[in-house]
Amino acid sequence: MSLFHHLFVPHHTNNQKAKILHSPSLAIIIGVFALFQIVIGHLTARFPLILGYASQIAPAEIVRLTNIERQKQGLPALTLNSQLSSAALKKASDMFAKNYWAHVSPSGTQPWFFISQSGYTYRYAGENLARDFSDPQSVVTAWMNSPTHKENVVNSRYQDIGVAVIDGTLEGRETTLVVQMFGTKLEALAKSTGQTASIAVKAQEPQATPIPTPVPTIAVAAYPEVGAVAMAEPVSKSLVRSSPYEITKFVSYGLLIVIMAVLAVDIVVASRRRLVRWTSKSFAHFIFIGILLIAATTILRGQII
Amino acid sequence: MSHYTFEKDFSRHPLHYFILLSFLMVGLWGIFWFSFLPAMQLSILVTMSIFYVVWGIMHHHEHKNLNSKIVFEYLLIAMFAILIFGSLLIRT
Repeated sequence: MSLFHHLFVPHHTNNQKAKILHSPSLAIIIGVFALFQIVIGHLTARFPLILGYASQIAPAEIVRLTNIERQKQGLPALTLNSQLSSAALKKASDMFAKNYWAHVSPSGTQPWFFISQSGYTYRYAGENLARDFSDPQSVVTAWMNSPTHKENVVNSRYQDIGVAVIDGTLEGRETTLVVQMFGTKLEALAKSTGQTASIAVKAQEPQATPIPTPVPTIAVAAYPEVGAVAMAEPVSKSLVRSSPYEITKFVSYGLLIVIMAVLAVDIVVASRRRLVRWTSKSFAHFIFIGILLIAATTILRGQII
Repeated sequence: MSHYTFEKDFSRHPLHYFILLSFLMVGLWGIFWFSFLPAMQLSILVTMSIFYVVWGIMHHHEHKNLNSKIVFEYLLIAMFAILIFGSLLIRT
């Protein structure tokens, strides 16, 4: 009990300030946490099945959740299209191969190239990208929270969807990429609107001679941000024991909460005992750490573009 | 040199704490706003941490009880914040 008081409560043994709040203790905590992060990074690289990034994203679930969002808006469900899924898979593979995280590759290849290459002759097309998410609901929620991505998800012009989910190393990090592609076939639109066959012929030109730029006759440019997620290969990393993110999150939150609690006790005890100390301000630390704790909760697993 | 209890410190310098809280709240809003831009979030957190150290130095300078030990304590808290936040961002 005396050790507890010494560590966490202002006491005569710790110069009326919890030992854990003393500079040497804080320095030790920082050092140990930094070391802990180095070890986690090392273990993640050496033993990915013991300490790795687990992703439980099923392409079909992405499609299902996307269609739920569309139904909420009174829009028809999208149909899973194997050509779009193939395009999404090619796009994801290209990102890993050329090590980039963008809609357009460093060499200028646009998403529409992969769609055309897969044999999908589109009138409208779009793409949404996501990485580092651990579950499909988080992916779709992130897209719905972003106006430009949401515009793709609930775009009435789209009829088809394709999704690919692939694991790999991107920019030096273990990553799960989710590529969602949306589209409407030119012939489908021609059927519904009675457009002439000449338009379809123009649109099919790129298929004959694929080039890494969209065909000018295709109206994709009007919806360059539209996206769909296609998952060609369901990711299953059930063998992964623990996630470095979850462990870091657990330890970080634990540390922040413990230090906030000690600071709160310090403020109350110092106030009750009317302690006069020549030290930094616990109340200021409490505010700062509290803000940090709130900020930490905003960190989202995953990114979208 | 002067020493204050917590109540005296707070009652004599409410503006100090108001400025601190206001700046940190603006920073927090920025972190929320850029929730999908980790680099921006980290930049904001680093700015908040630097401001916190500066605030501590100014505050204790006003109290005329500024010394290297106190500056070191604020630096450690700021480093701790950056380390925690940065680690979470890296591991996402």
